[in-house]
Amino acid sequence: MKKGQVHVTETILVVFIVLIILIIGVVGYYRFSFEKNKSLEGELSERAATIMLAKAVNLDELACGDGDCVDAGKFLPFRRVLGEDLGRFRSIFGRKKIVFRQIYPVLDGSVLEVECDTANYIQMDYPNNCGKWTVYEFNPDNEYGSKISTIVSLYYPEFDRYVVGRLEIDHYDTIRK
Amino acid sequence: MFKWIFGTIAGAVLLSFFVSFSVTHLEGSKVLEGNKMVVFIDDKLDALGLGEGGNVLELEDEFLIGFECGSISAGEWEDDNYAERSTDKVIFSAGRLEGETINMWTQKWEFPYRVVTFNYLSNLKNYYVLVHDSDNSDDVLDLANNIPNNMNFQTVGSSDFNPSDFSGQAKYADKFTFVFFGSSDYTVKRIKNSFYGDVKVEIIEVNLNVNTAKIYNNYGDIEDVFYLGDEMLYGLIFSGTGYTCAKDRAMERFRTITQIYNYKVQRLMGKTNDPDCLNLLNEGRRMLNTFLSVNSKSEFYNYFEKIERQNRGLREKSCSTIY
Repeated sequence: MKKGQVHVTETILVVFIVLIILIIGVVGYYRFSFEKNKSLEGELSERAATIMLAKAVNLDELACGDGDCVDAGKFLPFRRVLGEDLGRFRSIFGRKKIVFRQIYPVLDGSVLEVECDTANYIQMDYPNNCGKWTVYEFNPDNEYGSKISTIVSLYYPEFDRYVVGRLEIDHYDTIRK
Repeated sequence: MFKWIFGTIAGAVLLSFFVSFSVTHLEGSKVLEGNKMVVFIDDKLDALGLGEGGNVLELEDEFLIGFECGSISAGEWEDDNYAERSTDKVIFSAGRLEGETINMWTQKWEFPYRVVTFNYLSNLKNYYVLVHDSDNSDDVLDLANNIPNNMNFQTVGSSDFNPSDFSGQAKYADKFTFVFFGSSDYTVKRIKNSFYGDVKVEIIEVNLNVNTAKIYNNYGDIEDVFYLGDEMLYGLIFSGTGYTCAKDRAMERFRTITQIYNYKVQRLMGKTNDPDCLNLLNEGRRMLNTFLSVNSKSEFYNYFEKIERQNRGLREKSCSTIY
């Protein structure tokens, strides 16, 4: 092999190694950026859910007239309205699941996971025959959600009675655009 | 020779790669900056909207924030850092606010039940002058007293009103809104002639007796509007020509809330055994049903009073109330 050819081969080898290192660096950087963005997305989603937690308690569609409690009498009407204008509420709430539960007085264990719907509502033993209201749910990709919750004052206008409830929000790691 | 050609090409490729890499990241960070700003403002409005009152939003830098109907934007449309976000909030503002601070004020709109939180936004470059006459000075001063001090409001009697008095402030203003309670002899053109520079001027003539107003835009075009309650009147003053769109969004929420109460009362009727309560609730339901479809201002006020009275009647009879 001539001396010139050796030099060319060496140069190509050096450039090749530099390119390999460069590609490894770029791929590593992008993977790191992607992971960072994913974790930022999760953080922002949690922050949005925390804001939503405070917002949902005060949401005029669900709150009592004086704003100090959540009106259980509005849950089923809200769900009906939600069905009529789903697009608008999706843009407000995004990918979340919003559930209210009665926690005190303590309900019978067998009804804790029973959804309060129209069939339960018209029964004489309402509200002791069901334990939760899912007022909103949108999770098209069946993602696994993180849950945050807060204690609320639940008001039953039918009986003029206040009970202790809990608002739970499952949020999915997709930020609302 | 070959080495030089090879080195030059390889160097150019590497250099262009690093340059494009940096440019992409710079553009990305600009987009992120705009997006962070609109999310920040939206979150602040959410937090402030939980209660009522005034606040000042300090931005870290000078920003152009747009509050168009149903969206919040940061920057100019053609800029790299332009960002826009849709919002469900009802925002009454001058449309575009430029600067490092935004003054905010929130109030709950009740008609007769709580409907939505109104957000009023302004900055130090937007001026509002309320011009009252002897017949309505008490009402106007009451209105003005409720507004937080940082919202740039001034009041003046119609006999003392002279637009030239505001020409000094107009030099530094983006927009001047003159609100005449009663009719006015001034036109937008006449007021603009008293000012130096190209400040935007709007005139609003409010008739407090019938809850209507005329909005004259910067070019003197007229729009007739009505308002429902003082909260909406404040919205009219803050937003001027942008009022109709914000009001329509508020009315959309009003219809949603009314529908919820309508369905709620239907269910409450199924839960009561007292015939008096049943009759009162049924009457209330019919009122809510009609309230959903009314369009004229007089009908809105008429049903507002009817439903308020009906709710009071239900409370007095110890029945479940509408709201």
